[in-house]
Amino acid sequence: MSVSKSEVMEAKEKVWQPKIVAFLCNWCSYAGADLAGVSRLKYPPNVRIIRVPCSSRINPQFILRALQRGADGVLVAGCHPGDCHYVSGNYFTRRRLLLFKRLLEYVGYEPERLKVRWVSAAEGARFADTIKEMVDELAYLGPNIRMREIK
Amino acid sequence: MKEITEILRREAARLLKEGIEFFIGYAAGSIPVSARPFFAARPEEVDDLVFNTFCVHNLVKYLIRYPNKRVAVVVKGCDNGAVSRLVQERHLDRTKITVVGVPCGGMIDRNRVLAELPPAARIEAVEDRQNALVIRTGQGEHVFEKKLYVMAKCQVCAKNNPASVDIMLGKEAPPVADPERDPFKEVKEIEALEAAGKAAYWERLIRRCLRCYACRQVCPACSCTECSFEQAVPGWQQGAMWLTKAKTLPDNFHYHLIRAFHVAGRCAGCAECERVCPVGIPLMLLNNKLTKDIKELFGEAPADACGVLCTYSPADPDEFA
Repeated sequence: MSVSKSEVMEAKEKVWQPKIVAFLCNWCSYAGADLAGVSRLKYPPNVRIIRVPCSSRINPQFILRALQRGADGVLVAGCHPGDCHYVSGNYFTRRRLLLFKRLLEYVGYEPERLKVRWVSAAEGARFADTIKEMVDELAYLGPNIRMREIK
Repeated sequence: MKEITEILRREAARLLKEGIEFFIGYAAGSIPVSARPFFAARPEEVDDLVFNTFCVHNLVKYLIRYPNKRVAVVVKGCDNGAVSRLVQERHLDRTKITVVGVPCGGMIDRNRVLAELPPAARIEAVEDRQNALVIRTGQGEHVFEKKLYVMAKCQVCAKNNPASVDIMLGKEAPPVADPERDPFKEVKEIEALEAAGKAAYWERLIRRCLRCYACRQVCPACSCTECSFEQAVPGWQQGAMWLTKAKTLPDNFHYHLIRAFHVAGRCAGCAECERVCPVGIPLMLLNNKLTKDIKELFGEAPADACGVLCTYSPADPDEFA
């Protein structure tokens, strides 16, 4: 049985699931996500994790590019302020992203598209909850179409 | 304005005789309602120098081209921020340059004046009378009240007399700013829109961008030797660049947001980016948004030499907890 192209597209659209790109810092949040895994906590599989040495490694261009190239939401997670492995990295992240988040909202992104959270290595449950929360919010918002090339 | 031009020429001639290699100022433009940047290298060339209400250009960025020369430059109050910016970032050696400050009574937005003249009117002369600008054309005299026709940045300018310059010409100018005008009025209007409304508003503007990079070239804060958007990499690595050469909406957005973000906290508000834009994108709306947020979030903290994003305070607001 053959299906027409539009039917395939329709089926694909029906199962649209939000896609989240998560930038996790190596020392806290990545370990936190790991803990969520080894503790067998359930969270939606919509997240693609990218491990970075420190949350201050995250260039705002990473976030923008993720949103423009297919992500429906971006999560940035790092150590709690004061707990950075590199002493002060996440303080810089905080300043930078406070400002960048406002800039993204100013040009038309919904506030839910970018989430920044502090997740320590002991907070596996917090990581799982964050992902659940994001998936719910993004599913409600629908696919991200801002600043995308319409082909 | 005649008077200030006289003083300017006299000072320029003196500096050139004293061993300055050249003096960067303004000369009359090709039509009466304009000016152009002018480099005087010999004392006899100073007679071309002028200063009037059309000297809109920020001349400071020319200095980067001559790091080892002794150069003098004319600055208005809004250009003065560029000097300290470039000195702080070690593009300029403050001891080699001579900064000549001129009191500024506001610069006229030429496009708005021209739009009100009768079509195809040939401008014969422009006369500057204290509070009014008189333009004589073949069809008679047109009087423009200066206060209503100054550029947007002048309407909120609080520094029309440049501070800490080497030589100050003439007497102090009275303030130009309209005290009732909120500098962030337009920004607040956009902020009040819904997400979809904001997106539609910006998409219409950003789609026009040709990515000529004039806004970057002219910006004193955008003076990196290698720009993150135009790196010298071989062709086979071009795919790894942030932007392609093609003019597409996502790349235009990427460029404009990141350009604004790169100068966040370092923008001196000279509005040159907006002035040089060939398609008239109001870029100061992006810069002002960041300026406003920085003020709200981090206060008027003593700025680090490289801007508020190069420093931090444990007491910063934390909405990510």
